[in-house]
Amino acid sequence: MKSFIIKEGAVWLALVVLTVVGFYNSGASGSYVAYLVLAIGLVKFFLIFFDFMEMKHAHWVWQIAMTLFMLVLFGTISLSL
Amino acid sequence: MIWIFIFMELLAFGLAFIVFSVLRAKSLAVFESSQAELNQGLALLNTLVLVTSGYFVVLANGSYDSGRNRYAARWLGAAIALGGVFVIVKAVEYRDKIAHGLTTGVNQFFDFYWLLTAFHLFHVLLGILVLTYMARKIRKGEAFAAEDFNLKTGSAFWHMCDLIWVLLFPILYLI
Repeated sequence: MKSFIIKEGAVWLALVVLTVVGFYNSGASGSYVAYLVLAIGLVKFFLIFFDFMEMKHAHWVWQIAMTLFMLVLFGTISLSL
Repeated sequence: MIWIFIFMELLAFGLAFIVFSVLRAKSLAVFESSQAELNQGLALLNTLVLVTSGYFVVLANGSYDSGRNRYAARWLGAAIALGGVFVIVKAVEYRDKIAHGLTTGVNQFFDFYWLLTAFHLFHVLLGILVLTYMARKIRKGEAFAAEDFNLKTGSAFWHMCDLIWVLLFPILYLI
């Protein structure tokens, strides 16, 4: 149980750090900023989806479907920036 | 069954985010000035609150799987408390927006702001009820009756609230 808490704690810490990094970078100037903030959001999504939701153990069809859906979603949003 | 439900929910929010982004590109000045009216600090706080509550739900599952039901109920209680914090922070944010007349009908940005955040808040409130039910069952030592409605599916619903928020936060508040 202890190793489980530490392993999942590392994922939680990564989510917190990414959240704070995304937040502070959003105030910076530069055309890359919006893409960086979006990319950080995508990484956080996958961390929660695969680790917290345990989708890494799900059928590969679900994993592929969700990954493709998110890439299309973020790709479309990126194009509109 | 829960995965189909989650996929459909994410699809609905995803489509709304795409429409929001297209409208933003068309009226960039309005959207940027409206976004400046939002409280990014409160949204950051709520993101950290929700992510941490998700972690507590993961720990509740780990405890439950290893037979430590009392700890599982406690972790769920902590997650529910953070869900309550999220609701309170959101209420403070809403009160501020209403006080400044930033409600629906002001412009397209605020139409989407209210639609997306209120719909998400509804899911969080529902999630709190689901987690409360799960915690109560575990505390009483009762088994989950249906295979489709147990701690895993209840947790998946809570994580879905988390997933939607980590998309909503950058799209609505940051970019």
